[in-house]
Amino acid sequence: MTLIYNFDTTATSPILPQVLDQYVRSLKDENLNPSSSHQGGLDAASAVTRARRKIARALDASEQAIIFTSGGTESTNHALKGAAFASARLPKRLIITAGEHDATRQCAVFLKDKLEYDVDIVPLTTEGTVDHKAFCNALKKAPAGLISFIAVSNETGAINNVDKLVRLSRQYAPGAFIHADIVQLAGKLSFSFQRSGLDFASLSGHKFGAPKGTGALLVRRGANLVPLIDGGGQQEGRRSGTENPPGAVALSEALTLQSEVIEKHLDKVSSLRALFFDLLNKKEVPHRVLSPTDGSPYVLSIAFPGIRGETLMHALSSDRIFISTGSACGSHHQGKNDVLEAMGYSKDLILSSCRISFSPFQSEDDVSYLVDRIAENYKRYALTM
Amino acid sequence: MSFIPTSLDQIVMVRLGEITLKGLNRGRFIDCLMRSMRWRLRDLGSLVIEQKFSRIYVRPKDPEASFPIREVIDRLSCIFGIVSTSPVVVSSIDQDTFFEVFDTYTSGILGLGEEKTFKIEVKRANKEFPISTYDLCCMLGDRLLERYPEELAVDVHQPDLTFFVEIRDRIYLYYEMIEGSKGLPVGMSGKGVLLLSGGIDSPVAGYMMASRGMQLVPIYFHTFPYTSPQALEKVKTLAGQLARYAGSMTLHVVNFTDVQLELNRLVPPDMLTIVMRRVMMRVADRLAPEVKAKSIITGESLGQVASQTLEALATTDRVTTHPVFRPLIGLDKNDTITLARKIGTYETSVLPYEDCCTVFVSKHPKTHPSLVDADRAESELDIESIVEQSLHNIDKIDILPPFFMIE
Repeated sequence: MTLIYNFDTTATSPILPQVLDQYVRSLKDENLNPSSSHQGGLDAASAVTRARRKIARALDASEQAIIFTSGGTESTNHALKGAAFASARLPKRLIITAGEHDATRQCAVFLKDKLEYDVDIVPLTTEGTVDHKAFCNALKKAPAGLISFIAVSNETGAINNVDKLVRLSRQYAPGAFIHADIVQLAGKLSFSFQRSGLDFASLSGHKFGAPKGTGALLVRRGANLVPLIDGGGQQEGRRSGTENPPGAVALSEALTLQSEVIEKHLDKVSSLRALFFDLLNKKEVPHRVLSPTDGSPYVLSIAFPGIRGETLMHALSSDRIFISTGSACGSHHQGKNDVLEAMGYSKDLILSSCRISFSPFQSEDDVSYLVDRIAENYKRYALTM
Repeated sequence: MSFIPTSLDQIVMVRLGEITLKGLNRGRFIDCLMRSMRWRLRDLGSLVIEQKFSRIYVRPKDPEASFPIREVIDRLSCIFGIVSTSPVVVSSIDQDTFFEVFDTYTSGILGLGEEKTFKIEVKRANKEFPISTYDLCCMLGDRLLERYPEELAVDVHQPDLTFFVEIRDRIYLYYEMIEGSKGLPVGMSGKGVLLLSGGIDSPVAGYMMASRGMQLVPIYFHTFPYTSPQALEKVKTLAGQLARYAGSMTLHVVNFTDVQLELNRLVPPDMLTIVMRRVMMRVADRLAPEVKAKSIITGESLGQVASQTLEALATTDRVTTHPVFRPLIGLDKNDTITLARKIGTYETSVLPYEDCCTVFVSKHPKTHPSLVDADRAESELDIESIVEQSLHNIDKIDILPPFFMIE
């Protein structure tokens, strides 16, 4: 395999070797249908049960709270649409924030267009977190039925204060259901579902070392959801479709492994990030950090004025270094990034922004190579226009 | 599609337009067309493609073999020089056999319980056939009306359905006529270097010249990393879509980044686009003899953008030695879009990948540059070495029509 430098781990984190082993083992040993009543089926079903137990332990949730899904997008859809369908008595009003992932944004569009919901989008501070005052105002304006916010921004790493947002929500909208997108939090920062007070939380396996197509929705006991996928009644009818034992095993294994070393990984990632800035300053590459200083060290939004994010991304790509652009590649709206715009950044700055992800699986040499190549490419391709 | 009983084997009848009017050259045009047909259909089994008078017929060599007639027609419809095609059933010239074939064929198309008007059109090229044109029309019409007294009525002016009967060495029967691409077979009007970008216009310009028989040599200026690998993929896809009509071609990809950076450094911003176009024209002009082309094709349309004003076009014309064809010059953008949709390039063209024209673009380009302005803007450049450098940095990519790539 060609050596690659993955600085786009926010998009997909490398699969952990132990997880891969367990995944392959399970594909071989537990590859029967968990709904079957023969021994093979029972073994596959108990693999899913064990996985559920491990996930519950890692996230401090009850086993019943966990619904296995295909990932973050499905979980978010299930939570928001499922809750809206389940509770006809809910006020038809959804509050989200300007920092949401497209999954949440598009669910909001669905609720608005198809179920006549009012949607309120709470602005962000210049630090990229939810503006608490505006959040309160939105809560006070009219009764809300659903509230959804992102815990850690996938664009900037900005960390929202989940406890505070839940407390405010309960205070002003006691009847509302609260969903958090914890895709960039799970496995990277510590989290307790029980203590969070959330009704629903969505997570995705491939963001922390499990394969794509794995994920979970956490559901507080008593929070009703209409299933989005009907069929054979698997997972107690909450999400039909044959369960995926190897996927569940891999998801639980990855989450357990990561949860055990959260602090250690945070230290490592923070020091890589600090090294990155040291080297960047040494090389005197003009840049502007768009991420907040106290956000998740895993995600860095940074602009290099003079070179488009896309140009830098392509240039680094031919050096086998993978980063992401601030303004999504192939986007119809050049220089458009809803989250960065909500933080008040200009179109030009957004156009020259990119997203660099740090991960505990990178080395200091990797970071130093990254900075070398950024400096080289900047010198070669930055334009004065 | 109506149900045609399988006992009636269908073949494809191909009609030729303009070509049949050619004088002594006619044979060459038809040979060229037949070659192109054979090549396009080469992977669809063993087929017989034969010319009889002003028609070409395509049938499977082994009558028992499967014959993907709709795919054959789809591909033929893209070949310039073909006016229309029809799936036809063939009967021997014997009257009784023909009537039997006629009854079976029509019952597969009619008899669905809906009311329809119809017309019979007979072309009696074989005068030895004993029944006159008029009598045959009446006889066939009567046969249908007897079988479907409730459903059918004759309408000779605007019928829902027309049954065509052509009496030649055998009798050909059909009711569908599928429009072809018309024009002249590609290869009969020389070659042109096509300046192909990822936009809407240039593929349409290439299509229009190919429809007059011109073979295309597309050239694309790639500015990685300012333009993405996806942008190059997009151009390849566009060339492939064009190849459905214009036949296989060799895409010339000029690695233009260093030249572009040099232009950006040494040319006044308001003249950058004009100078860039002039450099591209020079490169195309110099490539032409190497690929045996005798013209240059662009998708420019008068006044569409700053670099397409009359003055701007004059400055680019000045640097070429070959005729420059701009088939869209007098076309409205909406008409170009309609054509792009028709030939299937529009959806690809509007994919949002950068081309160099959008990255290196001045906010206020000069719209009416004089020749002196253009020459002066180039005064700092070593044009000869820039053109040489571009010609030495060309990757060649073979482009086949998409139906051969699927496998």
